[in-house]
Amino acid sequence: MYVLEIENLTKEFSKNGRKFKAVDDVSFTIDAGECCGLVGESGSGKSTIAKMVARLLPPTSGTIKLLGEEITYLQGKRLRQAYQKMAMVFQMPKDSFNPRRKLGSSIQEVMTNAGIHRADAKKRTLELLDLVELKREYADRFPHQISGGECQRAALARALAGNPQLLICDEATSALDVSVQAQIVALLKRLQQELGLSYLMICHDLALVKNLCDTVVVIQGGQLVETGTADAVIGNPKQAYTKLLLESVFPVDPTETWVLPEYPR
Amino acid sequence: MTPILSIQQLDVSYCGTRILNDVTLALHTGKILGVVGESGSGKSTLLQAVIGLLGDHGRIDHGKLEFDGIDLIRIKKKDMRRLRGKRLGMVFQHPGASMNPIRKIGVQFLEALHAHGDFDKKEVRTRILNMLSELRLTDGERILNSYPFELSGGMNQRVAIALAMVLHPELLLADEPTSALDVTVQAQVVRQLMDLRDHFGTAMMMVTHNMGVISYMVDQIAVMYAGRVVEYGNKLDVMKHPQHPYTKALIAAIPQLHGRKMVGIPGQPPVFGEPYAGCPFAARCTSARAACRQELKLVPNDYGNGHWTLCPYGCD
Repeated sequence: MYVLEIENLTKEFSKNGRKFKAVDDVSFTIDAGECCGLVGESGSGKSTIAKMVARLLPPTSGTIKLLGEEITYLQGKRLRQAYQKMAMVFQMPKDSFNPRRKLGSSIQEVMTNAGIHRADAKKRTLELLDLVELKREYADRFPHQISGGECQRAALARALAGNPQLLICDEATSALDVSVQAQIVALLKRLQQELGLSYLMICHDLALVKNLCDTVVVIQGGQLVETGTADAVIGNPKQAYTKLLLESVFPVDPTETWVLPEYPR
Repeated sequence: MTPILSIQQLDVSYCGTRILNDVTLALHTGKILGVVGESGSGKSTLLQAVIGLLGDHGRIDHGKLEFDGIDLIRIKKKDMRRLRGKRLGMVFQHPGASMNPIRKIGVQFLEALHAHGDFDKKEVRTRILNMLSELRLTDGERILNSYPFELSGGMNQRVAIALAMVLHPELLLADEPTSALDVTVQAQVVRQLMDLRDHFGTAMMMVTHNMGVISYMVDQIAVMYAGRVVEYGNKLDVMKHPQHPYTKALIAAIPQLHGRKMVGIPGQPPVFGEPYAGCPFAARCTSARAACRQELKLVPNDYGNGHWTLCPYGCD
């Protein structure tokens, strides 16, 4: 059974009477324990897909199945139950926490909302902090008192509070510098192995996708252009658009030559 | 040749906590200096000190800061305002936040230009539109008639870059100018910045954690750690033969498209204001010796060709 199954997902926005397809008939699946990278230019519809999967935006048509259950139109209690199985991590860790609440209380809230007793939730919060390699004292800190990388760890702890099967990460490491990013990537990999988590990673850093993801879905103008294993798509891209994305990445080795690719106007 | 920007033994503190320690750097006309390092290493503070935006709590405790012979520490506020925008350009990290949310982009462009003298409105408009189209914003007219919140983060960042470049400053300070952009736009923005340098000899100081951008566009690299420049040199020397263990670890942490896997640096940098003995990186350094955690004099260790580090031992 797939953890996530997306079929013919379409999102249409209308502006000034004109209709515009942000996501156009996209279908793909994510297996258990698999990390899937969603790549494409800004405005290609990556975040719109993630928002529809996270049920933050209603799709125009198509279906989304989470662990075999269709969640496309769930409401109320059943939607809240679905939220136990998936969670989201955002780009700006500090903006995703309530600045006037201690981190522990923010993490705990996820569990008390799901009907878990307060004392148990408190205990579990500390275990979650251990899991993401944060000191237990951090439960009593406010978001502004810790660094961006630490805050992203806390956001991961909060996302893991409901024991989800799927984590949706929207540019979760883009705001972090390389060494902190490498730490978070190592943590994500460890969690993937230990908890059997699946990821939907939105990421515009193709090198990072290559390092972290098992499969890649390339989106252009709302349409799926190429999909396959990360090694195949990045090592041997078939579509012109994927090649263009890869050619745009600057080589880290300063002795390698790089030429600005021709972008279609 | 005298450098356009010269920073000597600069110490900066916020509310009494020392943030920058003994920073010495020089930047020549037409050169691009890349400043890299972890968040909280003082990179942004360094840029803010140069452009005089440390705010009420920031203080320059010691050192010299000169732009084209002008003392930037003792400069009058009025004179600084004349420099800023015209001769000193700045691109901030969060593009949306650096613009006025309730004024249209076009109005903000004109406002910036009018602050530095009178311009022919029509001519300026074509110049702005050309600049925007070179940054791949083809719908320039619509953008000038939009508010910042109506544009995406990437569009706002390109507008901010155009705004900083439109007066052809002699020195451009950029704080993570391409981090919010996806790879295709990033590639073009980087090209555009380099064209600006080639045409007008603009010197640039780029703070970024994108090592690909660094290794493509800069001439010199300054690696910062815990408020100090720990390694400085020409790009090839620093990237190919890093001598400070931190630089080496930083390069190993870069994700790459082909080849080796990325390796993180365990541990955390020292907390500002808390004293440490010896080298600030010693606690996380894999080749630290006992002496590194005791009294260690942090003096530059020269490797020739302008390449130096604060580590007395080196990696080779």
